[in-house]
Amino acid sequence: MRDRQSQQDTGQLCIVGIGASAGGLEALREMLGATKIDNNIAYVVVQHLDPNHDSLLAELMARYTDLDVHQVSDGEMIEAGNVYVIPPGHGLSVKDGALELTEFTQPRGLRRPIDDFFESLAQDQGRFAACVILSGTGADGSAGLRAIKEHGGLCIAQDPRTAKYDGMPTSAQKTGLVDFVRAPAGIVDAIRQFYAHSTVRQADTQLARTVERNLPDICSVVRNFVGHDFSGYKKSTLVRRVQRRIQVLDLDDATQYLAHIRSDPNECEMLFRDLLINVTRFFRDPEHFAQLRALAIRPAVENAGNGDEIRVWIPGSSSGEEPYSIAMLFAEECRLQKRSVNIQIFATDIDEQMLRIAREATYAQAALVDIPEEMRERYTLAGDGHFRITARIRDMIRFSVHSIARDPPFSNIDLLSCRNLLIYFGDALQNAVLPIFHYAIKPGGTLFLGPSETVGRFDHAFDPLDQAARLFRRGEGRPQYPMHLRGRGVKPHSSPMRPENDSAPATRLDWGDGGATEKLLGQYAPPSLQVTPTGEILRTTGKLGKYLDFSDSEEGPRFAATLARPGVREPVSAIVRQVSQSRRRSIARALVATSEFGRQTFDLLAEPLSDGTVLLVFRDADRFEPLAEDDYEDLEPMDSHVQSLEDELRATRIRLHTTVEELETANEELKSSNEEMMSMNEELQSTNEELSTVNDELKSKVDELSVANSDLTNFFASTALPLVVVDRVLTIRNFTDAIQSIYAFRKADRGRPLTEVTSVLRQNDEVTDLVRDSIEDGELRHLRVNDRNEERTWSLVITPYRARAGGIVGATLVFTELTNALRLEQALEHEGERLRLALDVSGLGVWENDPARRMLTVDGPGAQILGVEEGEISRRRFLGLATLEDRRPLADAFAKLTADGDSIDVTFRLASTGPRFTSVQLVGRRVQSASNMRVLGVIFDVTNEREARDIRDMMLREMNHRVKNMFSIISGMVRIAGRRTSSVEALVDGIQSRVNALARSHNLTQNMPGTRGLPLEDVIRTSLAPYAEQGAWRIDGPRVMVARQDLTALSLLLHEWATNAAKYGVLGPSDGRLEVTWVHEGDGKIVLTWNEIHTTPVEHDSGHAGFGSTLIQLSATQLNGAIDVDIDGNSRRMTLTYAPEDEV
Amino acid sequence: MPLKTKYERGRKARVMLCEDEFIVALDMQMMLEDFGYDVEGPFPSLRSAFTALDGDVPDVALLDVNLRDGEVFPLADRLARLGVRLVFHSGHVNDDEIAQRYPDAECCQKPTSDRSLRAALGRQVEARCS
Repeated sequence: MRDRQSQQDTGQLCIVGIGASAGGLEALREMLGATKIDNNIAYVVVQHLDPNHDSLLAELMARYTDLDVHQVSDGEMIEAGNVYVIPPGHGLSVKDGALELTEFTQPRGLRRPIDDFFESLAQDQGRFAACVILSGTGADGSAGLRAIKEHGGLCIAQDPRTAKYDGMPTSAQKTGLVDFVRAPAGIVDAIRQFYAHSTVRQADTQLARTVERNLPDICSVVRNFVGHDFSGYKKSTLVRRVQRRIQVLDLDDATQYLAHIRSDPNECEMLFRDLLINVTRFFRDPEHFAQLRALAIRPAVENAGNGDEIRVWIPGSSSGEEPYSIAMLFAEECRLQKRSVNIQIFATDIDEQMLRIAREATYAQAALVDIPEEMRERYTLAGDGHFRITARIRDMIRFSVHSIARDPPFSNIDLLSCRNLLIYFGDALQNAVLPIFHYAIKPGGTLFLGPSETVGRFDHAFDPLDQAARLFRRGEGRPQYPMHLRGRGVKPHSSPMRPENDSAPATRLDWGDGGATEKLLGQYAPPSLQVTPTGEILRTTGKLGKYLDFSDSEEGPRFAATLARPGVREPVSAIVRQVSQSRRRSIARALVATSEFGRQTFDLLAEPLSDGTVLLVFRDADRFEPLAEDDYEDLEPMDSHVQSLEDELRATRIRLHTTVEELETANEELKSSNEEMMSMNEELQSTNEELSTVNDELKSKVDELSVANSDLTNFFASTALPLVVVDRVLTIRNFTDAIQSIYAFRKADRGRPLTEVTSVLRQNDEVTDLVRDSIEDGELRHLRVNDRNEERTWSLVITPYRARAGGIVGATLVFTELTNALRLEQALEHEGERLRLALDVSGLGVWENDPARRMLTVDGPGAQILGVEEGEISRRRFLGLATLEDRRPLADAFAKLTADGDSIDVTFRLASTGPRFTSVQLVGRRVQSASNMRVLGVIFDVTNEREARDIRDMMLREMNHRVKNMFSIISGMVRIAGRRTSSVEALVDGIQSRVNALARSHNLTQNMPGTRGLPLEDVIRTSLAPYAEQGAWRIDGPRVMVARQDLTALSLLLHEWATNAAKYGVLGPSDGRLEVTWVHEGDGKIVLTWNEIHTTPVEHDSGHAGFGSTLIQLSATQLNGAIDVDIDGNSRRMTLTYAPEDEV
Repeated sequence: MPLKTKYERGRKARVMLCEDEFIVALDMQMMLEDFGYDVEGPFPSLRSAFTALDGDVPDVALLDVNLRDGEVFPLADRLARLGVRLVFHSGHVNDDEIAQRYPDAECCQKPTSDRSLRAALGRQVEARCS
């Protein structure tokens, strides 16, 4: 507890144990329902649960509270704001703030999980433990509550009027230790209020300080009201208990409390009660009791002489469990040793209320388990939720109010058991008490202390018998009467007292030590009697013969009135009766006792003793008068009348006694039947409690199930999903309306086998087989099914239907219509194929670019065009594929696209891809989807197109050049001709024929195969072609090629020659023939001979010095050659010698 | 003929003619002679023109762009360095290249008229003499 106190801080966790049984669920709901999460309070619910049934308690409670509810599994640390619920079949305990499950050691009827938990909670958490006892029958929790209280914790009980079953709360309330009695809804507030102080460290320690300051005043108030001085008690205990009261009353500080306690005697009583709380139970620390029995009780019984008395003193006996435990041990030893020893046990306490409980000897059923089984049956009697200690044991004990600090001690004690009392005493008080014990115990007697108590510095006076069990033997030292008690003028109790209802007769008087007292009493003291209020003689002393007649003594009790001599009987009866009632000393004076020897005048004194008996003293008042033989008094008849009446009364009494005994026997039998009934009832009760808990839980569960069921019904009715549920043998259990499209179910088909219902499925048998397989092995099955026309398609999923226990009890068939999806899929596939084909044929590659990632993805053809591998390439690498000059435009195009463009179209050449550059065109468009943006496009090779375009351009340029050239030639020719000709007709004719010649030569170039030029023969034939009808010729020579640039000149030259021949020679007016021949000459020169062979001799002419001859000369020059004209006889021969240049 | 007096008094201005098409060359030659210039050539090839250049340097050169053995530009460069004024006689549609390379030169598109040829040559001869 001290550790706990030093650990506390602002977040000190307070653990509230809640004990509940039958009707507890409702109370818990009300109690925790409105609870908000606290930073420092955790709740642990301990409920009586059926060990064979799963508990729904946690589940049900979770619905009514904001707090987190857990069923304890084992070893959890308790944390604030949570509710922990005990699991079925286990007990629960707390250790170092963690929950531990325990196994029950008791049979079902005797388990006390609530007590067990509260006790461990009190041990572990001290004053930060609180307990709440809610509805339930029996008394579980009451003992645990006491432990909580003893350790300074808070105890709350549900108001029994609000509880469904008030057994547990009432029992708790009866202990007198409950701090608050509240309706469930008010309980949490009470807990909060109580801990409001202590959870804040400063406030807590401050409060403790003010209490300490005011403690002497509080103690003196208590002493004045109750008569007990607690100032010698341990200060820490006192402070804590006072502090508790302050917290319970919700006061601010100790000063307020002092005022309160002064004004309210009830509070004084409450505090007194709180100060005296201690936990006690039967055979507390059983192993210590075993040692006590072995080392002290057994030897004591063995060594006692027959009829000896063994005296036991138990100070601080509280509610009596300890004295009864010790009494049972003694009784058991006597029984086993077959000895009859008179055992006298004095059980004392300062608390009258506790003693009352002890005297009743009735305890809660729950405490029964503490008593060892062999003694349980022998020494207890079962009752309704309670048990009684048998009269035999009860009668061994004498309970009385006695304060060891204030009242004189008992003496001559064989065994003194004072357990767990000294721990509450301060040092001074302890040091005062131990000498008292030393005095009280006779040499060789035994002292039995609590497990945390020692004899301290008095170890010289007590030798340890068993240190662990705290058993000590009193040394032989002289007893010293405690000095501090002497001054009070109270005679120590030297004579033992008898219980007022003790029916067993004393077997021997014991007047103390030695024979002196006996001698004194026998010889010198006045004759005296100790009698019970009914007049039964307990002890006698002195010479009583004058007053009593012992002559015809009978067996059994002796009554003073019966034995009294005439003259004594009436006053004795009267005075005993009077003194018993008034409890005051009385005297009857001048009485005369008559015996057969004489008369004696005397005074009769009666003194009430503290145990209810009466001491009668006969004091002689005069001399004894011997009686004459004949002196008869007339009293005799009266005496004999009384005598006869008394005889009759005695006989009646004996009869009555017999009858009573018979009745008691019958009663005893009835009692034992009753006991059996009771124990049966107890079991039934606990079963009933468990059942009612289960019933509560089930009721809630049923509510939930009906909601879930209605949800399910609605789902089945509304869903468009075709679904069937079948059981293990394929009987239809349930289906949705949408299933009609597949199976023609009607409502009545539930329970029919699935195989009997027609379906539209083509694969009906296959489905059935798969369902069986699925049920067999528990695996999922997928299947695609069609209707018989193959118009509709479904995807079928067969799921095994698992029961809660885990076994497969059927299967669920869910159909998903795929018809439209499939159509779409097919259409897409076709579309895709078409697209792929188009791409393949056109040699298009597809690329995709994610601008955010700056990566390009190209497909196979695209990769082939680019000369990279298929897949992703980085933008940087992609740009690197272009030639240096194309790289920048390409990058710009992409940048523009990323920034704001919607499309891209760019052509670039690839660097270093073989002998010629590959030109690539890249076209793309931005595709924006909801989640991302990407660019999709195609890429294709445009090298051929590019080259064709270049060639076309070049050709156009060349054509343009040639046409212009041709125009220049014609224009030049016209101008030249214009200079020489006077006649327009001749001019036109000349120009036309030459243009024709040029056109023919141009025709030749059009047919020119390749660039190697034309065969010379073809050129000549073309030139002569217009004159084919006008003469004969021979053309002959080796194959010689004419270069393009020579063609015009050569054509014109041949044209001039042919024209001349047609005008003037063999091709025209003259007869003859033409021979055109050519040969190679050295130096690569060609010699072309144009030989006109006339039939008549050829005239020398001056030559044609006109435009024609100019053209001939020019042509020769152009051909880089020379013309030679030779006229010889009939022939006119012209020779062209030229060297054809290699074409550039 | 509106030739400059300086040449009328001294000698005729000399024009180098390079043209590979012989009819055009003859036509040109006649026109140049008609204009009153001394004609050197016509040269149908670069080779022959370069050979001729070893002797006298002409005042103006009338150059066809495409000669038998290649484009005329190496010759034109040489002439330009020698201070000879240039008139190009070309069939090319686009003469930007020529204008860019020889900013002072003139271009006559084929087929050319004698009037435009005469004007161009006149301007160049004048520029040469000034």
